[in-house]
Amino acid sequence: MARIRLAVKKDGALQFLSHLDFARAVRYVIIRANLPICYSEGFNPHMKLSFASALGVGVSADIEYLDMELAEKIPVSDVMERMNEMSPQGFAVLDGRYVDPKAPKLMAIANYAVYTLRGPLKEDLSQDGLNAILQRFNEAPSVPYEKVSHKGKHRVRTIEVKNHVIDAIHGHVKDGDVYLTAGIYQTSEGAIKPIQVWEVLEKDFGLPVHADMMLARRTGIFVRKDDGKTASLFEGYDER
Amino acid sequence: MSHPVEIDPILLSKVSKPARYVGGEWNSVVKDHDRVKLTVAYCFPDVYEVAMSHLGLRILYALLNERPDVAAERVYAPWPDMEDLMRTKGYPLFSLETKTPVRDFDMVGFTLQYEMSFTNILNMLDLAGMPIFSKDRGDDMPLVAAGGPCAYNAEPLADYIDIFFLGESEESTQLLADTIIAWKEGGKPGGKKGLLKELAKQPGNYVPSFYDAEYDEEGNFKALVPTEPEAKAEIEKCVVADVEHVFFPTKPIVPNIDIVHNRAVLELFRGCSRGCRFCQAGMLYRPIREKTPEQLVKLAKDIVANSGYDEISLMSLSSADYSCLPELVDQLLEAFKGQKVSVSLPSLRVDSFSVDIAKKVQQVRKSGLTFAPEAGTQRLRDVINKGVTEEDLLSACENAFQNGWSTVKLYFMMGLPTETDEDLAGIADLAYKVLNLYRSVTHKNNGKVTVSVSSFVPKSHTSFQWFGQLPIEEIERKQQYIKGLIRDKHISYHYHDAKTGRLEATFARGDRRMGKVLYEAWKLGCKFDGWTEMFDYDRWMKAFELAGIDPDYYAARNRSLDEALPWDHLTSGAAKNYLKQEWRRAERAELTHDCRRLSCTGCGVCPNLGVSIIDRKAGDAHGKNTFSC
Repeated sequence: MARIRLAVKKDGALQFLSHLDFARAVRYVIIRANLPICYSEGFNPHMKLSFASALGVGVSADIEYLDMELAEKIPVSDVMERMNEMSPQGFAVLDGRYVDPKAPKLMAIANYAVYTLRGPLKEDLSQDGLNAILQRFNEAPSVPYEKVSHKGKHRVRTIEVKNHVIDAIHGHVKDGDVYLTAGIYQTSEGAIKPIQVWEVLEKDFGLPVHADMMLARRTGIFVRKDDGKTASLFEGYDER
Repeated sequence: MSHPVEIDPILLSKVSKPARYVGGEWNSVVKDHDRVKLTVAYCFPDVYEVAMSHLGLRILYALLNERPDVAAERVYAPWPDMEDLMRTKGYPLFSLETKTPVRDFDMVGFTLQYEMSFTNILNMLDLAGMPIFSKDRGDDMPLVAAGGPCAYNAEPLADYIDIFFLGESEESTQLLADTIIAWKEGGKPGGKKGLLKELAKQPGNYVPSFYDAEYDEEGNFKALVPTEPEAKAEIEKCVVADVEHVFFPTKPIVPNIDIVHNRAVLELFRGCSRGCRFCQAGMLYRPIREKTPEQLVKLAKDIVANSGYDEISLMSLSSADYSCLPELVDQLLEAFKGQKVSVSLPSLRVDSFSVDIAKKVQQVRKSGLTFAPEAGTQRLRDVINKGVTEEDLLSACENAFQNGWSTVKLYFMMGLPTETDEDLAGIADLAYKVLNLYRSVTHKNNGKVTVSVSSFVPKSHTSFQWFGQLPIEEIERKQQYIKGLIRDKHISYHYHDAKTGRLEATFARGDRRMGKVLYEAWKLGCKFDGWTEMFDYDRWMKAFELAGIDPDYYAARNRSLDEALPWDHLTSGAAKNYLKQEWRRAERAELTHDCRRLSCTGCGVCPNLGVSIIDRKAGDAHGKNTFSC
């Protein structure tokens, strides 16, 4: 048995898929590519396939990672070629390598993601104006975000945005849209969603946008070490 | 030149399930319109998940796209939140493949699967920026066509659709495409009317504007009179004689989001000759024509390889009637051994044999079996010619319970001709018998029987087409009567909204005047009427009032056997006299046998259309085309 790790993308027609739909679309690609994928035992066999993250509806990704278990070690270039031939618009395999079958799960190691957020401005905003807003956010020691759970009872949970947005946000204005680059760090308590960061900037820092009009593109996902350095998910788990 | 509709993804992200509107699915076909001679927009008047599950449109889409000179694209009804966005921002209805506005296609074809989707057709035309009435659409507008089962009673849509296609279109669609291309290349002689005249000469094509409807002094429908020389007095359906070799798509479009039936589909055969007297499909799709298991296995392998699906559904009107089913299932299981591809049977026949097959294919999940006895007593089952006995049902259930199933669903109808409360009590009685059987077979008390009772809608082209639907109050009384008889918590009882059924009945047996009601209803905002949360009965009643039409005239009236029917000019090949004879036999509770292997029962389809039954196992009898597998 061999475990292969692939870097893939999700955009275009697939941008609006939920994580479950995206995972199904990838399963179809794997079947069409006729790869010797392994299945779990039991009454309802599942493909041995796992992702680094659960990308939400509307969130596209320049890069996402997945692991699959293959019954036979096929050259990486063959796996990539066979899958890319069978990929729908919006999906592609970008890179791959075999990893140690005992390596920790992608979900367990990927803890830092960088996003570009885009949304239309409600009014004119100069680059200086944007910089001033972002500076106030970046310099604020604490930014609480109140998350209201709509399921069941109306429970309110406070998330400290600054525990997750640990690097400065920067951005620019172009053609009436504002573009922000924000890194989101996942702690043992979870993470914050890009749309929630956007909402905080609108509500508490006066960013002149609509709180619900934003699309996020994830430009990278990494392992962030305690020293602040980031590493690719391909690094450090090579087969022995 | 046509400009594609571009919607900012940020706006799109605000509607529910934006992936419904972006296309890009595997096996969808994108062509450059400048490099083809004909563009066709296939429209399904319902939301993506429903529309994408429909086999007929998939067949025609793939069939036309095989031709290098034709681009066929898909258009589905936007959900109201998307419609709001489109109307607010001025986006016209567009195709999924190239985002081309619908009004820029040469032909726009709607499929008519159920009456409750009719308002969506009007709404889609309007969203496309096209006048909804046929007479208001000039030569610059696409040809608007429609086909599918509801085309057999086309009259309520006669004012909106330019041309209807009756029957199976795999062959006639090629001729249609050739005709339109020749007309375009010839400089569109005679304009759109010239094209319609040409098409009206071809089999299966009905151009409603070439006829006038006449009514007698009392306002009853009298006749449909041709007004153009090309208009035939009777339009006969198209039928594919060679089902074995007819085009079947092996590269199905694979949706990116989950849809209602998200699996590969294998069509085992066309038609059904059991002759259930309430069933319209049973009359419309005759005769039975089977494919061979070898051909089906070959198709299945290609479909799985091209789609990535891990489930194949064996689809047909009554799949368990396929003569080589055990062989087919064995061959499929063998072909996909080790590939984790499962096979599913969407409907089971009420007998123990079907359970044996289900056992074979559903080795994993014993999710529950569904049977449709349709009526509660033998007498009523004989009236409707459902050739099923209580013994059949109980032996099927016994087999299921012995093999680990604990849930059985039973489908019934109410409001059938000659029905009494005794027949309804029979429904409850059967449910109890099945539950008690579970208890005695398993000695356990965890069995579950679900009883689902729908209210009967008389349909055109059936032997019950003369029978009036019962009033809503009576249907509701019957629903409550059955409810009162079911008191075991292991039996759950469901029934359908009687109001939806009443509306369906007005269209199912309506004439051209129903078009006015449709228009009023659409203006009042009716759409997605097949969706419980969208259906607004009071609004529909208002539409009838505005149109000055009594719904009961169409839904509830018993029609006399000699009165002219608004669909007499559209024929499935079955003779009206045969239907009359069947109606009389129903009144006497006399069964009519299945003609597949026994003698011909005289419906007339085979001689009228020049086709024959193809049964792969019957042996050569009665001069039918039969083969042994």
